[in-house]
Amino acid sequence: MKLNVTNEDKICTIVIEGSIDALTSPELEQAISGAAPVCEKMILDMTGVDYISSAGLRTVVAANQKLGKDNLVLKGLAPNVLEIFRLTGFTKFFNIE
Amino acid sequence: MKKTKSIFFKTAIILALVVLLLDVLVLALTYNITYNNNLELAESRLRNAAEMTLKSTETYNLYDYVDKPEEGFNFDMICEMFDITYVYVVEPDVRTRSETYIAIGFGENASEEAINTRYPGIRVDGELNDSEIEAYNGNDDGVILHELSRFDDSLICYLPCTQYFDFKSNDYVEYKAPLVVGAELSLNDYNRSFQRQFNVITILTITLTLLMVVAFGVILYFKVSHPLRVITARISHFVTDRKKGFTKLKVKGEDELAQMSQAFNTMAEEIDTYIGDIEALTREKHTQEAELNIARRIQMGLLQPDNFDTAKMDIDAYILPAKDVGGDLYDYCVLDDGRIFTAIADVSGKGISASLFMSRAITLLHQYAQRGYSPARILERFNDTLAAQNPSGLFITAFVAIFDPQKHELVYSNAGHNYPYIISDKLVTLDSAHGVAAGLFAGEAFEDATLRLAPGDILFMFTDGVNEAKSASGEFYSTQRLEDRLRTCIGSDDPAAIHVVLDELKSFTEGAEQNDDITMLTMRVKPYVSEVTLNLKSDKSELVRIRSAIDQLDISEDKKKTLYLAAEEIFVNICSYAYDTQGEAGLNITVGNVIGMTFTDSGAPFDPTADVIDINDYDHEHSIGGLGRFLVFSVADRYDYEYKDGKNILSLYFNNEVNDR
Repeated sequence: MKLNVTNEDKICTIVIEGSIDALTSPELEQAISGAAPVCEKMILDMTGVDYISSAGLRTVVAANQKLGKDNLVLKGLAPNVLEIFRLTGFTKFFNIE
Repeated sequence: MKKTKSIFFKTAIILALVVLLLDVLVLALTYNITYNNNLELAESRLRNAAEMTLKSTETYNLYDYVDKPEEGFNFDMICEMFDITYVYVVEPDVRTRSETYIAIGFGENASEEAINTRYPGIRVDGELNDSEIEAYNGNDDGVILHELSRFDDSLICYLPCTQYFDFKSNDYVEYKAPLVVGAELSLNDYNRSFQRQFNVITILTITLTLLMVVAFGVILYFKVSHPLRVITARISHFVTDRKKGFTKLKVKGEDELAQMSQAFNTMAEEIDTYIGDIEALTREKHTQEAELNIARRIQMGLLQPDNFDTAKMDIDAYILPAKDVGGDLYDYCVLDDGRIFTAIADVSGKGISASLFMSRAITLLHQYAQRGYSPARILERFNDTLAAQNPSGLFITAFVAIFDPQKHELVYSNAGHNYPYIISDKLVTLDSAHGVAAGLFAGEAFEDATLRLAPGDILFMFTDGVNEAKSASGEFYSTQRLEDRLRTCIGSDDPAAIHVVLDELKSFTEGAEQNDDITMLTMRVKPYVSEVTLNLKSDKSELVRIRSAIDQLDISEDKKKTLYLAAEEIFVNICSYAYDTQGEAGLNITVGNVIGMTFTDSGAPFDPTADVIDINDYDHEHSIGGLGRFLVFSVADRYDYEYKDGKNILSLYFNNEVNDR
């Protein structure tokens, strides 16, 4: 997994590439909690994410809880990743673009 | 200077010996002639003396004076007159070989003994010799006797005396028996003086001769030998001396030595120039070799590693450059869309020009491949670009292929390169889509050919350095041998076809000089894996192994992601809950119409299929546990759990969409 964090007028963008699984999600978690205090809004650009497991889901859910649905945007979800969100019914809790 | 056996020394010795021998011969001859001459002179003197004696006593009856010799004829006078030793008259008695002296005269050097023992009237027994008898018998030529003994060398002349003139009867009276007149000369003294003179002459001659020889030798040494040695020394130390600067030999006169010195000077000047040239060339060659080495390193650095392994295929490469930098190349890379590009090529010619051309070629091929062109299009662009700037008219043969691991499809195009082979259940020669060698004529069109590669198939590419490799006896390795060898790889699980060929090639070319690059490249489609079994430690890091095991399976990419998900969720649960400390888990996946995935662990009995959360009741605000299990059983088409023999056995089943790969 590769992460690229940018901050523009307190709007943070984290571009994620690769798999978000049990091994890589702690890294994402760290990046999110690191950025959260200075961000009013956070965009997770997941265009490059090809796989997500429950560990990844939990990380994103935790971020959602911390920031609030209105302040977290999930962007560019690939069909198989979106499918996981759909399966869990989480789509309704998230701001998915 | 080192003591050398001079040819002049040897010559002088031989010359001295020869001259000495000649001296001895001449001296001996001279001695002989002189001696014989003396003898002859002495003979005639003796003969004269004898005749004179005969004449002088013609009128005497010699017997009358036997008792009173002082009154008779003075025989001593004859001796004095003719400078002889003795003169005598004897009466031979042939029967008893004795003789009786009738008269005798002595010369100056007569021996005391003879004076005392020989006198008229004495009879001496056994002294009568054959010459005397000859004269006694009437030979009046003057019989000469040369008496040579160890102590005595005397010459005697005998004449017969048969009568005397008797004045009383006025007639000749015969003696009752013939008398013999003897005149004798002792040569002893004479010889001694002659010998003395002769010795002086001999010593003088030999000394003179030796002196001449020595003088000759000395002259030869200083005039010839020494200058020769100087020249020799100069020749033998020419190269060492040359560093101190070359000086010419002095040329004096026009003799052979002068000519030789002149010849040496000319030769030395030429060699000097020549060595200078060679030194310059050698320096240049060393620099060139160092540069060639760098060039070769750079060239080899342009090549990809000789081994590349992915889940779908593996690539092996082998390149053995000939002594000079060569023009072979191979290349491969994974394109952005996941297809695999491979190429092999051979630049005509060798050396720097070929290697520069090769560098350009490999860069272009790589670049055009990454633009996503088809092999034919790659070769067209490649050919056009090379042909546009190719002042030295080099060309390159190339085979380019792109393999699509999803479709298992190989697209290839060939620019005048040797036909590669496909090793499947048979050996197939890829002889279609064969165009002209690249680099010479812009605008050439190339075509693509497509081929389906089954799992386990090998694409074998090579350059002509392989089939044209020569054995020590000059025989080619040949395409036939290569094909025979490749056929042995049919049906083999061993992916290293290259090494099979290489081993034979190495023993075939043993002891022969390699004069062309040898390059081989294989791309093997990995055989399908329809089952994997893993023994895992209960540690999350094992997820990496699980993923690569799933990667190898012959299923669609989407299905793989489903399997990753299920496997990860179950395995993470095992890691988190099954053991207090670390334990083990087993994973088995089988692929068929249904994909079966079974996890076993020896942890406390736990049925993950029980109490799966209802997602509608999921309180995502507060509890996020159980989410993983929910996902697993959502994506699995069927599942099964049992606890057996102390093990949790969880089986998940997924329908396999056979046609979606």
